Amino acid sequence: MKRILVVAISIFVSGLLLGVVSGWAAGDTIIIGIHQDATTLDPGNHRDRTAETIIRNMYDGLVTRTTDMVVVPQLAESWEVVSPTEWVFHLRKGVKWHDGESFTAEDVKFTIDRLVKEGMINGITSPRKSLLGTVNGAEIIDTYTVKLTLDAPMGHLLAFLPFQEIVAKHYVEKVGDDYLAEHPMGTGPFKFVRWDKGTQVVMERFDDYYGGSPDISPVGPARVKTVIFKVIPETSSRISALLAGEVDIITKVPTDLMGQIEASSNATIATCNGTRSYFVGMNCANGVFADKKVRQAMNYAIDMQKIVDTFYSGLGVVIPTILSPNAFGYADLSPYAYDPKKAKEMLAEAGYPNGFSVVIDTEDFIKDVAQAYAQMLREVGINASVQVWEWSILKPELLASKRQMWLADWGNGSMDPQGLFVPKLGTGARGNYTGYSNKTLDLLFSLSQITSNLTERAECFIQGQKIVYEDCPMIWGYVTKEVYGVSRRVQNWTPSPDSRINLHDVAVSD
Amino acid sequence: MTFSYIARRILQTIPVFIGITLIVFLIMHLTPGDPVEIMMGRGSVVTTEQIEQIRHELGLDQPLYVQYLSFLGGVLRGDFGRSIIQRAPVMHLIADRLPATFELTIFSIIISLIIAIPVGIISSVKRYSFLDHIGTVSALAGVSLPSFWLGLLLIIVFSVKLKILPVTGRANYGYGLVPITNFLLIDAVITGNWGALGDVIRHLLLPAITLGSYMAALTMRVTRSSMLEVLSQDYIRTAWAKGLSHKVVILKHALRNALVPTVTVVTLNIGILLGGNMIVESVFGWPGLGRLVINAVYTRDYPLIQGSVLIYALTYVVMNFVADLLYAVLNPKVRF
Repeated sequence: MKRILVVAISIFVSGLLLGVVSGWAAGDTIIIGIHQDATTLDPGNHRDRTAETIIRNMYDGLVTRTTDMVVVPQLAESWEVVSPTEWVFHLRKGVKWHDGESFTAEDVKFTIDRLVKEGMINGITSPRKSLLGTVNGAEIIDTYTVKLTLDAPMGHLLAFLPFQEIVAKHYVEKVGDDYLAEHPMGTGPFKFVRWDKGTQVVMERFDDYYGGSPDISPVGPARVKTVIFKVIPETSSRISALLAGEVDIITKVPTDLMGQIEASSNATIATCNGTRSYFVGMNCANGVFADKKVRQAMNYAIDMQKIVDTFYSGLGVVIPTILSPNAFGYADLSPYAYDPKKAKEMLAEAGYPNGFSVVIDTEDFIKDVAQAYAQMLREVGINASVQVWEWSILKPELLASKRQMWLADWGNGSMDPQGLFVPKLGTGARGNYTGYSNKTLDLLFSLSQITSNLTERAECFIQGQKIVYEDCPMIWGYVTKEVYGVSRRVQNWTPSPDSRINLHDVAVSD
Repeated sequence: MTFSYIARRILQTIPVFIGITLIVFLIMHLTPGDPVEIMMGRGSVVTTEQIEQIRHELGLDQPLYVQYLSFLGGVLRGDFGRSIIQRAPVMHLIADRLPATFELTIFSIIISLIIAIPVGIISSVKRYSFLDHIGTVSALAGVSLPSFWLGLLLIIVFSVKLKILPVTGRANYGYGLVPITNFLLIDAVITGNWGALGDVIRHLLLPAITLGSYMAALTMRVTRSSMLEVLSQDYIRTAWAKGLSHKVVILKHALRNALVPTVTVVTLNIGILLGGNMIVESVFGWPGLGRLVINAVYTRDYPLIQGSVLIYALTYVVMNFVADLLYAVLNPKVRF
């Protein structure tokens, strides 16, 4: 009896072990290890970058973006601005939903209305409404032509459209919002198979895919058959899964752990500029920083490249103002050079030959960087110290103009100045904690809203950046890079600065 | 065991539940941070009016007592509300996660008991022997090793180096296991998918060992000490004197009495294991309740926090009850 038991157990255990040795990730499957699960798979009901990343492989938008952040047609073939408040989109013909129905203007109108009208999703307004600014609805002109109507001109409309995926009217009306949230059905290169919450989202190639944007080659169905987004919250486990060959691409690799991946034979590192700008805000409304000269001196006092090298292993770009080099309308100015001597001279000219005392407010996750700033400021004679806050407590203090200097960041997935430059530095804007106000800049921002001519629009922001570069309402900082771990099996994939993981063009080798 | 006893136990839980929800409700609402602001993301394109509008639509602009009473009213009707961030019904979200948590917990308890009780018995019978020392040292290790460290160590050894066990998840998609009950072991058996069964067990092993190590250590020590106590009692000496075999004295006479404290420790720890899975769940990408709750706390998702806490409270109450029942089974003198 005992012997039989021992034999049975041995067979069982060896069976267990054998099963995994061969693995199963074949040449037609790609697995992405992501750091968190999507909150929902309803394209209209989230403000979640991870959900966006996953959903965008199953749904297409009217327009999309290349990895160089250029907006190109996708479900819309072309568009024209009929008047500053009317945009007409001509839709692609012959596009099929995953259930075989045809895509038409009805779907676009349904999607846009669902996003911008009140109480449209289970009685609650879409959290994405604000991304569409002044858009108030859509009108059908004919089966393949749709007009977006606006309350006021919105020059940045195109920049925000790549994130608005089109849903199928017939499907949503039939299944309802709750079902849609767990069973997406789009026109994208992959169709939904399964969502095991907290574990994985599985999708398979849609063979009737129309091919995607003609501006992004190759056009046609996706190359891999199966895509799995696998949730691995713990960083070390994510890296282990990559090294063990269990996943092919992983997100959010911390710079201090890159070495593990670089040292392995089966994976490598891929980086691109992220969407988040870091900067030190200064109170321009009252106190010492009301003086422009003092603010400029602060910019000379910080060795920003050293910060990037020390805290981010060099994986960041020092920026001249607040915008990423990948942003629309980026002005190619040279960042303030590190010149502590000049900073001291300017402080003396401004009437502070012996410096002053200042507290740098910050949050726990970035307090080390704040300490480094404080140290550099002490070197030019400023008695700087650091105070760590909980953001929800610090924010009202900043809004009330009670603080002097703070280290902060601001993400901008749209890569458009409208999502960063305008809300941070426009007079009285929602994210403007510095109290900075410049009438010319406000005028340029208004102009950028009215015009739909991209060159004019870019020029507004370029001129705007020259103004703030001079005025220095902040110590201009840097944009950090996003670091991905990528298996050597993966071909034709480049990380995208808007953090999308577009798998349409990707192939994997055995 | 009388009906009135059971009824009394159930009635006693009502004030416990109300107290727990009230405390959690107050703590969460007094903690700074606004779910709508968090949902929209810091540094994003949104107007203050839009945030206010969504707060209004969700009822977050109402006075606290109104929000609490409407939550309680919902619970009485069996409606736990909707998650603010995920926008889905709370009970639906919890039901999605519970099977994974239960499966892992039960599996890890089974593994830990299979190891701990025999080792505990051996340690007590062969006190101060080499085996006992090994048991003691392992128990010390099991209690003191932090689970994230143990988990990562196991991953590095068994997944990255030896490549015999998977790093994360519950099952490989490649085996085509279709969840029915979401207890994947059961699903694999009822669909007769034996390849998937092996795969599910492989996925369970490392997280279960990591999660169960503490429990195993604790059970081992409790079993050992209570066995030592029982073995020194008069009726055991009588049993030896009667000339009964080793096996009968130890496994029948001694163990049965010695298990009472073990049962207490195990049942109460099941509650802790169910709630304290968060770290193991993160390390092994396990889709359990712990991760759901932690994310809910980070995002101030009040309805989801409330719902999960009620489930935790329910688990504790039930486990306490089960412990009491087991005492009666093990010791005929215990009667309610």
